[in-house]
Amino acid sequence: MRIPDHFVEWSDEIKAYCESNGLSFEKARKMSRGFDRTSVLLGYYDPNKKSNGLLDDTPMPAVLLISKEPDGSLKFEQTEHTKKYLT
Amino acid sequence: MIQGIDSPIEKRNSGMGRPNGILTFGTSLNVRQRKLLEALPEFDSRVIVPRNSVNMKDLSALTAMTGDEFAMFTGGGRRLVIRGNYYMVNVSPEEAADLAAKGYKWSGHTHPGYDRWCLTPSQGDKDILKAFDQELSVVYNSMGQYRTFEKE
Repeated sequence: MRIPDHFVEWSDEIKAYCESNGLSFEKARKMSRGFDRTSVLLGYYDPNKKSNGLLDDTPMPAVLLISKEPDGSLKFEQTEHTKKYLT
Repeated sequence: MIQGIDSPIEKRNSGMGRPNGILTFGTSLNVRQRKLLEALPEFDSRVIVPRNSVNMKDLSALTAMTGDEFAMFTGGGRRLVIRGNYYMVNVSPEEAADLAAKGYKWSGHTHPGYDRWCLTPSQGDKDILKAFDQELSVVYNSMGQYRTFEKE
């Protein structure tokens, strides 16, 4: 079963979070997305960087993790890469 | 069904074959996983097995046991499983395109690690997905947790 695109589902709250934390929602929207059932992880994919497939499987920079809490609220976790790629 | 004395609770819930049990409690692989690992003794070992004989949780268990990455490709009722090492699998974008031409899809792969951050796909993961012209694939960690990721 395909996991729904939480970024689209939660876009209003993500936009509000970005605006109140000095982050660019437009940049966030263009980030690479990875999903599980309760979260979406934004990562930075460099379109100009040539990779060697699975021969270089170093995870791309994780930029922002957004998770649904049991009470229904969203939890935002920034990383050391957040400011660099979302401002 | 009444459980007999030969099937105590601790035996029924041994965690055998479960990634989290292997990692946390040092339980063993199940018989199916052991046979698979025997067929994949070292980096770049490859094996083709029937589709219903292995799934991504099995690869996660193998990663919990060995600390190595594993990748799986599915086509025509078969699965190709490739063993990597702790940071890569020997599959280039060119080989991925070749596998795609042979009718394989990329079912998923593993990243050794214990938290959700290690489920971040790599630049190379996305490029392999593009080589297969596939919309999404999945990455599992050593705990059996997973995250799907998309081509775009």
